[in-house]
Amino acid sequence: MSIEELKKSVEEIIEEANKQYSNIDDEISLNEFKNNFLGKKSSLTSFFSMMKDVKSEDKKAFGEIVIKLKSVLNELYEKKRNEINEKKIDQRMKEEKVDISLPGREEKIGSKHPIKAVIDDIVSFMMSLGFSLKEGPEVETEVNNFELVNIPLDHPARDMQDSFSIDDNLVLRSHTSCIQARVMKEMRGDYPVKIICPGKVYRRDSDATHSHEFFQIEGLVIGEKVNMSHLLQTLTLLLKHIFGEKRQVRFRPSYFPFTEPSIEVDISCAECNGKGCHLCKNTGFIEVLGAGMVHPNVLRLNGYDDKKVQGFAFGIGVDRIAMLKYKIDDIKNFYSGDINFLRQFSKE
Amino acid sequence: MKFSLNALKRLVNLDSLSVDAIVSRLTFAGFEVEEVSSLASGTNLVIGKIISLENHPKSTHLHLLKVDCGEKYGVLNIVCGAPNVSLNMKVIVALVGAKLDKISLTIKESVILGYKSQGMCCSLLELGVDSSLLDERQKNGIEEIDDSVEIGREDVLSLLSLDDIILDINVLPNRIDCLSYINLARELSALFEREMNPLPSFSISTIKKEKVVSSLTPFCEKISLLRVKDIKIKKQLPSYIKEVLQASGIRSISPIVDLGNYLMLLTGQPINMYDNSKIEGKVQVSSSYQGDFISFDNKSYQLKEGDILISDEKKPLCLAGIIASSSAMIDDKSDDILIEFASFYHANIRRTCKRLGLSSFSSNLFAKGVNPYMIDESISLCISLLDEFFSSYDIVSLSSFSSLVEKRNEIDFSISDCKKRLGVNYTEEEVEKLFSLYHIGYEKKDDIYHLYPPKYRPDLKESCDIQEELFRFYGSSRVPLNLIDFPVTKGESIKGKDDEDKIRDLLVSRGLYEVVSYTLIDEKMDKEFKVFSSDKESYKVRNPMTKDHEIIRNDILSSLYAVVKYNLSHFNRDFQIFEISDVDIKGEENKKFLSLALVGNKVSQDNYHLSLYDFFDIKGLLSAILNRLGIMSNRYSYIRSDNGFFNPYCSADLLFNKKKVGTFGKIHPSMSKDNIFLLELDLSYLISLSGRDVRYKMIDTYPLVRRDLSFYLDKDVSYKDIKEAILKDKTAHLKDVLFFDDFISEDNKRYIGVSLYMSKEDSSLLEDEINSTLQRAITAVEKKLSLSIRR
Repeated sequence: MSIEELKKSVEEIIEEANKQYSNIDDEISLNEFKNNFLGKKSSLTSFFSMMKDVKSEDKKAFGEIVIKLKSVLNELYEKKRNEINEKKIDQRMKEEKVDISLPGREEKIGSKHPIKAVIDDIVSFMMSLGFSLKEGPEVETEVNNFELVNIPLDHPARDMQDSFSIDDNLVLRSHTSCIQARVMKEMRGDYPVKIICPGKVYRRDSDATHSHEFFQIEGLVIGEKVNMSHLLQTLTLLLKHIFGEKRQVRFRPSYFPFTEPSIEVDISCAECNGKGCHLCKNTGFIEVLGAGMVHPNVLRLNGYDDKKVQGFAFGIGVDRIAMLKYKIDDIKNFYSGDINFLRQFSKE
Repeated sequence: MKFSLNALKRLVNLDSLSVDAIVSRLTFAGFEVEEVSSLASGTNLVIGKIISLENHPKSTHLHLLKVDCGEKYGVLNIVCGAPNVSLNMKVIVALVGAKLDKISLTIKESVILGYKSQGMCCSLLELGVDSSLLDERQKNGIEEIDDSVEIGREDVLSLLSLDDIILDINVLPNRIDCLSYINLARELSALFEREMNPLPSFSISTIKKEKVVSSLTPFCEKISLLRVKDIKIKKQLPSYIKEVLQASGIRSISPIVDLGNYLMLLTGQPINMYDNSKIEGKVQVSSSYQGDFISFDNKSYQLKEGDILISDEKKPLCLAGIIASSSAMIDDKSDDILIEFASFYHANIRRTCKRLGLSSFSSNLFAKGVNPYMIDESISLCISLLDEFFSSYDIVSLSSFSSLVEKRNEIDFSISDCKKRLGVNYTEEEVEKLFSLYHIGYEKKDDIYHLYPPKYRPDLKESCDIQEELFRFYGSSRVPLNLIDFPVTKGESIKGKDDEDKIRDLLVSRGLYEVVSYTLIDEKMDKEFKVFSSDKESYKVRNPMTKDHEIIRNDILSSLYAVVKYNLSHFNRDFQIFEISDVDIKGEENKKFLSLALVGNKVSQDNYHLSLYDFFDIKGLLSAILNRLGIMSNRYSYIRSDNGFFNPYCSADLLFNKKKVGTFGKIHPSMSKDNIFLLELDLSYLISLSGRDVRYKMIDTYPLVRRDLSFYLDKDVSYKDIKEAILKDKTAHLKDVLFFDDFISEDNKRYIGVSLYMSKEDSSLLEDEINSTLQRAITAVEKKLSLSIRR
């Protein structure tokens, strides 16, 4: 075949290919196209097999034309193939169309108990200040619960109306202060002691703000130079962490058997920002915890030399903190386990 | 305690100090003022006289009054409904515009059933006076003003001694000395650096001594009886005394009773009185009497050893500090009296009061502790006050018993120690100023102050007590906030806490709500479930508040189940809860248990895809927990549970080497018909297990081959049996056997499907290696369990 003949025939083929190309609309017609123009029986293939009979001086030109033809046909084929493929994917995606307004099938998440969430928060904050976590049993000896925290036998707090008694030696602990005694015993006069002790405690008391079972967190630090400045600063940091930087913290002298001087700590009322409202009984401040410098007698009773070391302690009513933080009016909500109450705390 | 501000002002000069200033200074000195109230309140009040009285024509109880209110206000028409109105009576008129705050009323001119009313005649209740201070007549009608009072007077409240402010002060247990006007006035005198007005006194050494009283008990270290005879009672009590009584809510009854109450409020020393003519022989205090005691109101009390009794030689006179008998009581005819001043041991009084259910202002004082070293001062004050109550009297004698050791607290104090402990550098001037304001005597040697606190301050015992005084007086603002020299330490957690938190997070992310249920439960609940303590007795509280909360649980499940029931009864049907709590078991170390409940349906968002919880949900959750703790499945096993509170066909115990570590499954239908699945787990045990660390194993390079086999289940054979049979006799290539299906075929035959996973470490498995492994498994099951394979 001469170059001229080839050129002519190539033109015809391209014309024919373009004609068929426009009719391709699925994979079958695409395959037909491929067989017709690029397959074994196609003219293109026959041109390649003719190559060996072409005169040597024409070989180069002949080859170029055939290769050009191949690339034109291939291009057409690839283009169509992509079109069809895209169409197919499009179709498949359409079939997966969803109503995006329908709810997700995600399983509901539960929640931590608000009191436990407050404990977790306080404990992790105090641990970041270097306090170590300590716990103790709820059934506690009279000695740990009372005697060793400076509440001697005839002290009014020892009367049966305040705490739950089990027998002559055992009580349900009425505060977490008894953990102090346990830790001091463990330490055998060694220091520094720097502990944070959460736990459930028990008192014979019941109304909208008191439950016979409730939670406290005790803090105790003992060292050679631990002073009131440290106490006030630690409590200020803690309370601003819990209630926010905007809250003012103030300290009032108070009394506890295990500390002296003792203080009561108030924060400015979040409801009225210190202006006075029903929540703070028009004082602008709300009492949140009690604290003080460890009474020297507590140190002596627990095997420490009160001339050498000193310390501070504080006790937080967790229920009260949680009630203030979440504006809960009745303490019973914490203990009824009502799902409608609990599910509000998923974020915690 | 409630204090009359007027009365305090008579004891200490508080001129030109506002109420707010007083309240704030007290509060920040440790005397929290819990409430400030006025005894009475009312503006635009005037004294008027009823000069005309007619019945209201349209009412059965209203009257039409003309009230002459003096020159300034003239004669007013007032419609009044009080039953005690009468012509010429003098009354308190609240004029138009008057504000009566205590009853939230502003008086307006009005027309009542057709007649104009230009004001209101007031009762003291309407002025806000507490009803406990009023008699029946005052409570039911308008106040009748003494005829001697001029009409037109506008200073009505002060005229009636009602212009007082009442401070309700929370006196802390270390400052019970301030449960008295005199000591609180001393405190105010120091806080405001104001002079005390001198107290009247009487030298008791001039009184004739007698020995008619003695104490046989260490619980009464000091008792004095002052005998006064030929007393003639005064009719009218001075209004300043009334004011003190009123502030404490005490109504004036008779001068003798009033004397006792007034003296008690002034000094903090409770007073008891006897009719001396009824006393037979000497008076004695003892604490060993056992038997009946009949009180003045004819009630019988069973006394025990430790109750302190005062008696004469014939009969009991008084349950000391608490309640008197009628045997020597003062009555209208008494004119020869014994006034008792004593101190009894606080704990005895407190216990007796609690046991017998008795309490009064004076017994509460004794229960807090009366300072025996101040008794002589109280006697002296008492004598100097007698003129106010009696028009004539004769002081006969004073009989005292005392086993007190005369002691004086002495304290060494140094400014540098104080600085070390409080972080405040008080100057010598500041410190010495405090000593003088609080009447603390001192000698200074080098840097040490040797201190002598006054005897009315028994709370000042060691140097920290003085530091407290400085802190109170100069305020917390003197303490700088810093952490200089604060010990730097590493915060350590406790063993197992991270595991506990992991489990809590796992359960919360699986949709469970954390609950806190009651530790104290009732007897019935104590008998339920008992997963770990069927044979153990629980701790029981000796003094429960109610029967519902008297036993200390040694298992969490029963109180968690109470929470389940609470929710079901409050229309919550589908939910899942858990609790992790300490449990105290008699004779064992305290433990942590985990309890959880799956109730009703497993619910996803918006309540679509509901499916009833089943056994495999709770077992799956348990597996997740064990997995999260790093406990491999070959360390534990399950057996059917024999706990009677679970459905025996649908519950299991979790075992670690025969030790039961948990029980879970469906609740027994006799407990509840609801779809409830429960679990209780000994978390402490799981956390204590060692060998839970991650141990990395090489990942297989060649693919795992899976082949499934189904066995026809025509016998009572469990999945576990099949798995064990296959694993017991296997080729080296078999790695694991896992469950994949449990199904009933069309011809109603039950099949169980298991997947066999095979691999080789060094190459891919060949087809005949796979087949021989499968054949080995089939043969094992056929031989051991006689199950045939489904082909």
